[in-house]
Amino acid sequence: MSAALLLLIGFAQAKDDGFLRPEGTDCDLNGGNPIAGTAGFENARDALQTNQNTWSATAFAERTLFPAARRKGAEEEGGVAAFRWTFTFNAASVVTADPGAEGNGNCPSNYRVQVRPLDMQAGNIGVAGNWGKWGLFYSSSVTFGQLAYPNPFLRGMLWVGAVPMYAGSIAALAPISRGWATQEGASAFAMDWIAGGRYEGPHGYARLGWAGSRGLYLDVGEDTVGLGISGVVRPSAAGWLGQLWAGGRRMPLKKLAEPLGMSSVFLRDLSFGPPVVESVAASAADGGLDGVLGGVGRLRTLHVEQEDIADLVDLRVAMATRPVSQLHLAAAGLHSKGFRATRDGQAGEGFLGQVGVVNLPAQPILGVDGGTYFSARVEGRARSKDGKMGGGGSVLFNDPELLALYPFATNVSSWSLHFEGAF
Amino acid sequence: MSARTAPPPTFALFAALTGCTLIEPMPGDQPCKEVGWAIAARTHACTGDVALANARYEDFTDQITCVEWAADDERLGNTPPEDLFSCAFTIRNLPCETVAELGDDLDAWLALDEGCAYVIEAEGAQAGGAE
Repeated sequence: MSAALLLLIGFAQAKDDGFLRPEGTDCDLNGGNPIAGTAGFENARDALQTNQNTWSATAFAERTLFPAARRKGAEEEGGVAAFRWTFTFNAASVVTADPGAEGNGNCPSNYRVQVRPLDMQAGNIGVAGNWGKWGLFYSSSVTFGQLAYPNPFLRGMLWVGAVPMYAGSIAALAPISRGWATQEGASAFAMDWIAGGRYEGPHGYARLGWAGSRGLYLDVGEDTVGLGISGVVRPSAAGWLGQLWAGGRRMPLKKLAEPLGMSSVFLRDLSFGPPVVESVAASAADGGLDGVLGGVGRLRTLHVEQEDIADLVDLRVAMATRPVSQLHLAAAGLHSKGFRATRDGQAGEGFLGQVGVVNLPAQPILGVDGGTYFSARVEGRARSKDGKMGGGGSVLFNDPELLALYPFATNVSSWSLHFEGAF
Repeated sequence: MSARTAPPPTFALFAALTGCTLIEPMPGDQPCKEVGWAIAARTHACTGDVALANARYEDFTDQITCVEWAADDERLGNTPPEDLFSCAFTIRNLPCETVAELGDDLDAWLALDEGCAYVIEAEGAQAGGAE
């Protein structure tokens, strides 16, 4: 932390137009005036919504809290507390007016109309306890985003200090506010929570809770094959299910052929921009899955994954059927042995590295010209000797998972840290 | 979103390592491209038809010539930024009934807002706008 503070002090005292104070550093600190009607403005608003969905209380519970708290058929009492912070940079580029850019300081007049990146943050806190096979859980999220500060010193202060404290303290109190969201221009703030009960039996699990954003959360699954379904019931004009995950997760193909690893096949559906008018959404919801989830304004993907091939390799392929039919994701990763968690709750540790190239199609609807971009992903996890404390981090740069979430982004990166401890 | 001026190598390396992307001056053709993107986006929003939206954007790029913005340009340099984007703003907020009436008539789309003439050299845009 002290090294980071020294680095930030260096930013603050560096010379104009240098490495640490690049051109534009002295432009409007408060984000300038984002211009409505531009693709970047609309994309920023979609990105803020996606940030809210992706790092929601339900997503945090399913990705971090429940895997850590899983005690398959356990009889003892205990619990887990978990935290996660995520920072996403440059999810969208927003055209912004800066009337103060008249050559004063380090803000030349050609910055009068400028393009600013959108920074977004998310903080999650959760706790799960159990008394034998039965237990309670609470999971919360605070997500927010804004146009980036032009001054690297202030931008760094936000990442290093303010965001973890801000998000953490507010998330812990989320139920008091019921869960709410607000958006002004290209900035947004949202919080949500879910709380409920859970059953962790020898052959499966069930979790039932209430989401602060007004929805009934349900997550059930069995352990013999690995089948499960989860979703939030939240009726709207287009459908009645706010989000859905259904399929098989880490199915034990390993038992049949050891080197082949674990297989996952699942369907996922999330709310997704760009928006369409309500009458179009209603007319598209004409039965089947579309009648339940809505036919437009959704990201619906079918995933096939093979993890732990020879205990080292992961392969992932996903096809999108909404909003358009196309190859959604194709990725290969290499990781250390024991990196992946087992299905009965034994957390993994080690590292994963993945590099590649992604080809983005031109999408005029989103104001994207398209192109070929470098992609990389690094993840690491560690645990204490007694296994009660653990944590990890990841850096994703143009990762297919990120580009799926923010299809209008180029050179987007996301940094994430998480910790968990058993009691 | 659109092609930008390439940053110096040190900045590019810094951005890649830290995820830090710097603010940049707006590319000169951005206000013009925003109009085409707005036509595509509104077409999609009102019809749900991605192919039609893409086709209308292709017609736009084939038929128009962009007026490039520059801070030191005598005509556009001092134009308020909101005026540069008023054409795109108007199109993005069109009622779907109007979108259906406009159809594939690009000139009609560009005659809706006088701000279109600030950023586009096209017959339809000239009908309504600035000198």
